[in-house]
Amino acid sequence: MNKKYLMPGLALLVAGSIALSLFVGRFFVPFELILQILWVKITGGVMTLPQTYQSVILEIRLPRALLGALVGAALAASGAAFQSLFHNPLVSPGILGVTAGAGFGAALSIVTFNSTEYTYAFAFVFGILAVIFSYVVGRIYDTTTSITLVLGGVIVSAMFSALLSTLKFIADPYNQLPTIVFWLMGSLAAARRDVLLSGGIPMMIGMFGLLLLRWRINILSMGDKEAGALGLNVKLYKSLLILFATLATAGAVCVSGIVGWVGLIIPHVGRMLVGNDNRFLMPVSMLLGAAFMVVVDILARSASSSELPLGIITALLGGPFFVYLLKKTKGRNW
Amino acid sequence: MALIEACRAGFKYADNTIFEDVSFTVQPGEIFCLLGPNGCGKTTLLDCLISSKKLHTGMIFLKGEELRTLTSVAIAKRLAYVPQDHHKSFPYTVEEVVMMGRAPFIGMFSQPGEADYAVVHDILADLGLSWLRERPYTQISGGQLQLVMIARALAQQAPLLIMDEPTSHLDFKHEILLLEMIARIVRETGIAVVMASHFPNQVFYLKNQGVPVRAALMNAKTLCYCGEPSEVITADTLREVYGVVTRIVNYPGINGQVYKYIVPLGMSQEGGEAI
Repeated sequence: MNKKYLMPGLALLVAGSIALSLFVGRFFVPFELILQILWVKITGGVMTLPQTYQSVILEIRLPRALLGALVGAALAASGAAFQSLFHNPLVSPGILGVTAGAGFGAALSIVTFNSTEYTYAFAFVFGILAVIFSYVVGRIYDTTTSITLVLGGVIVSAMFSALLSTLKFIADPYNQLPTIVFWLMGSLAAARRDVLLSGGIPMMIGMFGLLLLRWRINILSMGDKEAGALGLNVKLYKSLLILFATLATAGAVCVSGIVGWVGLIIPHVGRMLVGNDNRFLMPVSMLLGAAFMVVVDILARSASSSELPLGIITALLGGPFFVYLLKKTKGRNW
Repeated sequence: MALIEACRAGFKYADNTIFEDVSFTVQPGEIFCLLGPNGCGKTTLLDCLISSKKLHTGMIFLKGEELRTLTSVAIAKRLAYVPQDHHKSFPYTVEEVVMMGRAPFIGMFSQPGEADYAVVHDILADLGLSWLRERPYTQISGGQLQLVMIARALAQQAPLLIMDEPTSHLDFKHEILLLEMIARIVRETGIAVVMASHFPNQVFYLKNQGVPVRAALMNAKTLCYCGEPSEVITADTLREVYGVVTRIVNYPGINGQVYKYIVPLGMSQEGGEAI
């Protein structure tokens, strides 16, 4: 694949899927009206069209598509980063417990305040806390070896899952429990401009950091000893990678709930397109993840009369696709 | 100035002393061969040299500066490491792997530039690996992989290579090929090599290639002999360290030189220490 054309091509794909999402939805807005709204918005003219149409396009569909793109890109980027860090292609962004922690945080805020007002903050904070716990557990030895880090992640995830179950158990079954369950299945339905901002900032910082580090991530994937001999301050770069990947994932999870598979599969599609060098893999994964997520969200809100949770679609699409990939790449030295 | 100067170096895990009181120096342009039985601490000593493990006692100086005071980048510019067992993770191309050797010269958030590509291409060409450039390094032979690891180390442009049993996975042909490659690198570039080896004959082989070679025998948790190969590797020392009875034979080599070769005769009966 020619790398020169791939990047602009993928960027077009993302732009195209965002554009498409403006035209698809249950609330009918005439095609030419959508174009008109966009035209007026871009040229800065005076809006004379009905307010409802405007807000559907500009306040609901556009922020939602942008948020979807950010979430997909952030999850794919941190997936690619963690896969390299743990030298394991089967790692997903939740490996250090960020999703389990965020799930607990969201449920805690729903149960405590009986509303979804503080879900973002709680999910974000507990997601980050979980990773800090995993990191502390992983530092049993002087250095953070991959195996102790993963163990830390497994332990912390298990504990937060148990705490989440406890909350589900005590939650009001008519109101709070369904809210928790739907949150856990993932959705972009809450996307508004303010959400786009609060989730977007950590995602952008995380992705920017991973982009800056992307070549060094290759070296980290050689293992601690060799990376150190190649002149890398392994402890520093490992912490930076975990920090940026966690910011990106926590930012994504706190606005969209738990959307699985994207962070696991998209980097593999990227590997098939551009190989394993994170210099190319990282941006390509981000673009692929963005386009994938926007398309999945279009399906989620238009495939049936009520909105489907994102997690269902990513897994139903992602599962078979992953099997296909495993079959196809079994000749590689995984 | 000595590239490495180890002074009474010692390392232990909890109460288990791996080695102690190890002192030696490595000068530019020489091959320093570290010999000794399995488990004598060769690999641990090399790990201490590359700062992957920290000495418990004593000090190591790299070009006169104490190892502990140097940053990872400063160490990587003074020595480069060729691992014994490389754990392959992702199928990077050969070029991408060798490029990783440029890390000490590339800024924290930067990417390799044209100058780095030029260095990598020169090294690949020099080692005869150019044709493998785009190949996934997971799909090349063990001998080629070892050369790729050496290429990556050379890309660090350090004056010293640390090699941990570089021939351990290689067949007869590739063993000789690799030893000649090491001798050529030392001869042509003046780089020094510290290599751990299981085969005392390799020391003589390298010596026969006409490069300065010194040998060190490690046993009983320390360096017990160190110096000229013909003085360090004798029937007596081999019997003492390995418990193997040998005869060292001289045979005429090319252009009138006398080559040495170790012929093992069997395990020593005295001492009684089996395996």
